[in-house]
Amino acid sequence: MRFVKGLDPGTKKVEEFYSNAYDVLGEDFRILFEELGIRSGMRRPAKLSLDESFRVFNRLNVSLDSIMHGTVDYHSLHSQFFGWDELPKKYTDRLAYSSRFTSIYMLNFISEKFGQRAAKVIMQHFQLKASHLDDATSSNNMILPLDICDYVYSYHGKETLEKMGESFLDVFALSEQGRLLKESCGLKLQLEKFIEEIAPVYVEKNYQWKIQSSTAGSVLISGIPKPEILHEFGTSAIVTDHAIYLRKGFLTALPKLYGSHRVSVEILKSLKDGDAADLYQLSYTPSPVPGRADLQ
Amino acid sequence: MRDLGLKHNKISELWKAGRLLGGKTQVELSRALHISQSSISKYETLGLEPSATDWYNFCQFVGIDAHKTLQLGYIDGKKKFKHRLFGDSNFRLPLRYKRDFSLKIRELIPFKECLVAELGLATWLEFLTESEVDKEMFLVYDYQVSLDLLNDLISWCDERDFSILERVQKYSGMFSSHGILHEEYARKKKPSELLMAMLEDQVYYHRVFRTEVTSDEKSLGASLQVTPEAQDFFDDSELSQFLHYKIMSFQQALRVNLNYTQDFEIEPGADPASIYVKVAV
Repeated sequence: MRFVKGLDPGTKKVEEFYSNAYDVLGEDFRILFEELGIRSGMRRPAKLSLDESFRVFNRLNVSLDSIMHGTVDYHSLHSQFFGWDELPKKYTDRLAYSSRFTSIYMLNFISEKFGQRAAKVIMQHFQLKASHLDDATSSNNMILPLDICDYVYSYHGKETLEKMGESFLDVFALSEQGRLLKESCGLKLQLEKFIEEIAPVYVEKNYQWKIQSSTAGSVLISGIPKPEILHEFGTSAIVTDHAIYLRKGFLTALPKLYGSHRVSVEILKSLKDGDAADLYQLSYTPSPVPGRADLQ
Repeated sequence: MRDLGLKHNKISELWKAGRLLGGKTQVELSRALHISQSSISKYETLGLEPSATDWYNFCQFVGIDAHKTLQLGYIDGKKKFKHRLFGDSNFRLPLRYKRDFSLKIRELIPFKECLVAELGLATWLEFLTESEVDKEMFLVYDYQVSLDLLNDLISWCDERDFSILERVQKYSGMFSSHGILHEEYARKKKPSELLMAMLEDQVYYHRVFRTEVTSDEKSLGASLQVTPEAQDFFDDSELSQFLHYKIMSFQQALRVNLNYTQDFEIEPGADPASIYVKVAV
């Protein structure tokens, strides 16, 4: 099956998708059409109704957007169709330094805030399966969390990314590292220790945080992706508009690890704007509030 | 088996809702997407189901998520059309309902479900026709309208001896009436967690009051303070009616979903525009 010349670009993309899917799945793809009750078969798949098309897309765990963008990983599509659940190669083939935990956390946040269906749409968009989220200790490269960031930014805005970053601290606070940090003394020292020693190892291994200056109530923090990451993936893939808001939210919540504080974080410089590094100004003052009681 | 679970008329409604939200006429859409106007008309009136390509190009053009919109059955994800949520669209909406933007459509969904379930779809459509409001607007949960639309709906029902404020509690207590937020609520296992989530989420529903949680060890309390903007537009009785409806809907959600049987303590706040709700431990 080959797509027809002379069609509009969108229809060509859809025809191309069906053609490629048929190439990797063979006769099983034809059988799938029958199983899904698509009577017209595969004669002109781009002419399938919307409902029929989505039945196919859902079964193959791809989204209409990824088809139109030409980002479908056909190796993954093949493996997932036959139950092997391989992650798309672009998330694993180079410098897989990121813990899967980060992506799991991000999808959990979306699921909590906007529902499981919203999280499932994102998973399908990036060809993720539930089994990919079983093991938080497995790894992938930085592209996966960045892709999720970009999607969340596009449809939910920067406020959601900032909230996602803030909420990450709640999860970190429960970890062994979070517990140990809370037990050490002095908020200023704790923040410095966290940003320069703990975050690069336990929070974001691909990104170098550095304290430029620190006084009581204010910390100036710079950040830049590690050189090997920029070299391997290229600046345009790594330096996006969006992850900076996730990091801003994360920094906003940071002083709250050590008690209640009024916090503000301002993005002073951004790699995306051509600056040499991201630069954040974190300001905080104590703000005691009573704890919350649980109802019966 | 239909994986999508959407009936054809839902796709038609979503298409029309997206077009009106995008501020486009059928002619403008026809020119931009290179689809005949008669096809677009048929997409919107059940005669024809769009292809995946037409749907994708359409969603890109009006700024909605092609995949998620079909999966959810309503339009969510406001970033790309945020500027259109305040009346800058082609939805039919009288000026009276644009004088303030106090409510999101999400707030009205339980009322719609109540009316449809108890008096029938025709009654709901009759109200919309009389009010000169497009039914497709109710597929855009973040779209913003005046509190007057709700007040008028309540009055319209009262005139027909149907006390919707009493009947709607059942529907506002059901998470399914809250769109995309319902799964968040369904996960809450403690009354305090659910109440907190609902209080925090009020920004997704309206701009009539702000909430501030004032807890102590024995109770969870919330101060509900009417915003100055709402006070400018509405009189005390209208605001009080809305505040009490909301408090009852919180109570109902806790009752229905977590078997929390105690009544909330409701006290007047420090000034007439506030109210204090206390929930015992």
